Amino acid sequence: MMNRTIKKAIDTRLADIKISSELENKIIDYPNKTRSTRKRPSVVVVAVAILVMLSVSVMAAAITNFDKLLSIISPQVEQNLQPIKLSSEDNGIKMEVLAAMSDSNTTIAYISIQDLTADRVDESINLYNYSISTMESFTSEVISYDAASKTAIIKLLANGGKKLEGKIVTLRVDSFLSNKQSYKLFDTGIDLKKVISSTTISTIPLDMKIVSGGSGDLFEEFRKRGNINVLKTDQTNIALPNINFAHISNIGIVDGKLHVQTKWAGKGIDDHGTFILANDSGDKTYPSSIYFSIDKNGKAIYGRDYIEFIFEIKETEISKYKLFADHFTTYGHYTEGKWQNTFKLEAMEKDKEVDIDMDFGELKVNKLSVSPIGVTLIGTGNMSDTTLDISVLVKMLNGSVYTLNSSVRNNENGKFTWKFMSLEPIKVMNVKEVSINGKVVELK
Amino acid sequence: MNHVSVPNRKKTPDMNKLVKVYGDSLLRMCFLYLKDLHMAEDAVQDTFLKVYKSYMNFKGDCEEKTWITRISINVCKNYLRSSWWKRIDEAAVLENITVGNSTDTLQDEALLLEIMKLSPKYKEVILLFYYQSMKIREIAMILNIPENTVSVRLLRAREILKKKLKGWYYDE
Repeated sequence: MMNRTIKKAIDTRLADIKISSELENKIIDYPNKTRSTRKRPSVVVVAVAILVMLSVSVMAAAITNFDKLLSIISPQVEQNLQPIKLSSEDNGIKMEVLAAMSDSNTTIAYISIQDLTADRVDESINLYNYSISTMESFTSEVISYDAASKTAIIKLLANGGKKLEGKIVTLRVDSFLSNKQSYKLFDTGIDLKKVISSTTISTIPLDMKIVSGGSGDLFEEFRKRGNINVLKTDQTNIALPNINFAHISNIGIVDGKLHVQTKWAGKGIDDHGTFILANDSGDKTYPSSIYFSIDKNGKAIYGRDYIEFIFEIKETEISKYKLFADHFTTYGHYTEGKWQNTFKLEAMEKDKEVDIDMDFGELKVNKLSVSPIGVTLIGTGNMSDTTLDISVLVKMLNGSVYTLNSSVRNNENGKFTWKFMSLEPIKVMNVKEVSINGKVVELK
Repeated sequence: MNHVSVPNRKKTPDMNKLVKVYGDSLLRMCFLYLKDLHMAEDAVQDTFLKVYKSYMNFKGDCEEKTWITRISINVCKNYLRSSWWKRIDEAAVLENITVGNSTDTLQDEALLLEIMKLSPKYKEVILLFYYQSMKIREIAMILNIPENTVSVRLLRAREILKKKLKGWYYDE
């Protein structure tokens, strides 16, 4: 069905993208003119202009991290931001809460972290222990890094709050990671058939209740089963090219599935990576994974010293596949300290709530809330079992559409909230309708 | 789209005609590839300048459209190599483009968003095959890769789109 539809969809949706008469003139007026190069973002222009007018030292004092933030974000975000500008310093590192915005259950805060004495803040900085009081779940991302001042600007997203307008909250960071080394997809060079045929398999039982984490389709199946077998640890030591923080500690077929066990021996916190099986045609098979440790008697216990990767692949087909390692990552620096600031959250445009009745099988949605930050679905059902994929679009009165392509979920006592976030603030009073997997909820 | 005939070429190309025939579709393709309208305009301008400069070197061993599209794709690839292209958000980019009068706005939005999110190697085959209506052989020539590779990439790109758009854009 796709052939003509794509062309039609592109030409229809991008109907306003045409060669303007200005652009046409530029093209046709060649060869006597050189191409007019578009200027880089205005922040560069502004910075150059300021340089002309001011001395370097004066400029250094004038350009604050808050100013830098404003040069990164869009005017729409800026209009909704509440300036905070509070800083704290510890261990030679300065943190500043630059600004925040909040609706009834979510806060977005922008902070800067600057190393005043060493090189512990770099582009790969990853907040490790951090929180905003009264909130439940957190994510963060670096949105800007300035190598000269060793300053990172980070967007921090906190969810799970209740009636946040006017609340006094404390944002704290206790530790972060940096100096990241990450290795993308590479061939381990392991001859799977040879290794497996030469290894005698021993297994140990694993109670899924003590597993510290995992992922993949089989993880849920194993969790329901309760007890499974994993490979006995440290029966082999197969190095991975260039990787010194993890190795293969056992490999073999267990209960008809290929198990690849890795031991994470590095000192780094949050070291991680995965494997992929690929054949000559490029078909890829992804594993499920289980995290655990062992006690001195070799019994599986809670922990993350080992990750067992499990592939659903027939033993007879193993010779067709190569084992690739992917995203093996370690961080060279783990920095601790106490950086915190307390501030009052001010309300943005008020949320708009409507009662709805939508049935997505295991999930029933009975309320929808729209705020400048995004759309929250509230309902009943167990989200941990769901594989439901929901698309949310917000259509405005002027016809423009917001696509909400990131979401966070909270689930407690059979009730859930599923928040879909917009990258630009939504003007709630101008929302016409919300589409949830194509089902339209009218707000006006 | 009509192809412009190659035989009896003049020393200098008819830029008015080329821009009229290829301009809009190249601009839309560059926009989806680069995810930035301003840079797409620059890319199209660069493309036509290269066309002008190298027109005499065009041997006519492929369709004119194929030749121009190859230049355009290469210009886009060069732009993508710049570190300036980090952290582009497709949804935000698309939101800045005025919506047309289609009744299928939401579906179009979802489809374009997923195309923009594809990695360049999948995006380019989708755009060339479905949007520029090129044959596998022509795409292989443009991208300088074997025809088999084009077919495999097309298959995988379709699978990605199908998975992302299941129950939304696809009927099945």
